[in-house]
Amino acid sequence: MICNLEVKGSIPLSSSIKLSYEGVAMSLTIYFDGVSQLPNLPVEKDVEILFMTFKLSGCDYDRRILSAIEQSSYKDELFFVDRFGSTLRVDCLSTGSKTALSLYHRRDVVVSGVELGMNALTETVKYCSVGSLLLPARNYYIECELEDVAIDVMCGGRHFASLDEFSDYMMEEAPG
Amino acid sequence: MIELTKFRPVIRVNLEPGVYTFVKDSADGKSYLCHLLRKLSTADNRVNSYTYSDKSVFSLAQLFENKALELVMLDRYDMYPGEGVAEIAEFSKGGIVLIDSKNYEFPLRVTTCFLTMSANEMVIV
Repeated sequence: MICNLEVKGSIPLSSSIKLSYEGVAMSLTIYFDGVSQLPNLPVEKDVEILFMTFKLSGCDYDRRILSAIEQSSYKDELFFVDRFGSTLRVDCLSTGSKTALSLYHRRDVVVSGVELGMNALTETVKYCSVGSLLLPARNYYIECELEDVAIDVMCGGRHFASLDEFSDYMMEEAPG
Repeated sequence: MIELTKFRPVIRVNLEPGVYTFVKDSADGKSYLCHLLRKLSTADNRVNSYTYSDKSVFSLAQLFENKALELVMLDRYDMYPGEGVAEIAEFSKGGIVLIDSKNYEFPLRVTTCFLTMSANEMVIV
């Protein structure tokens, strides 16, 4: 059963703990292709197809991703309002946004991040604390903010609660 | 340089022939550009595009068989990495190839290009 979780943002580190309904902390788990031991879940490589298997709910996470990556706003499960004020079907969203949204709504699969843009990866890490993401094994540039941001990410056998620390890891230590 | 000004949004590609990859960000309008170029290809056979879902219909090599082609955009190239590299290299001697690739390392000379979009215009430089 998938439970509703709080989403994250620029909040104090001290209030960053996200709990499931069972009180167990969960994290966005990032794997590196060809390097990490994958969980016993199917790997979905085509995010455009995966995105067609669920509907947006209009939850805080959906709205934050649409705002942060697309500069757009949620209208309903089928439509969003883009940065120019046009109402478009959600299948017009970028592949990066679809990846970020699939992570949250399809926790039963490992989602490929091969098409994830750097901005989308950064926003996903900031706001998503569930799901499984498979990335190509290389270094990544994760843009930090003036003030550190609380995150909840498992990667390379380590837990990251700070965007700054995670950014350093992805640039310096991630397999590449 | 190619300008498609008869249609809306106007598309301006201010580039010389060669292979270009976009900045590795999401949601800057690449897939929309791909969609527009495919639609426009029926009215202007100098332009076309290709994406992962085309693979089941025709090959990337077949796209380059159109000798009138001057501008091609390849969307979602990470889903078919390495495909058509020889054809891309040959075509780029006289035409412009725009590629959406976040991870593939091309064995060709590749330059970064930038896409800016407004409600009425898309500009690639």
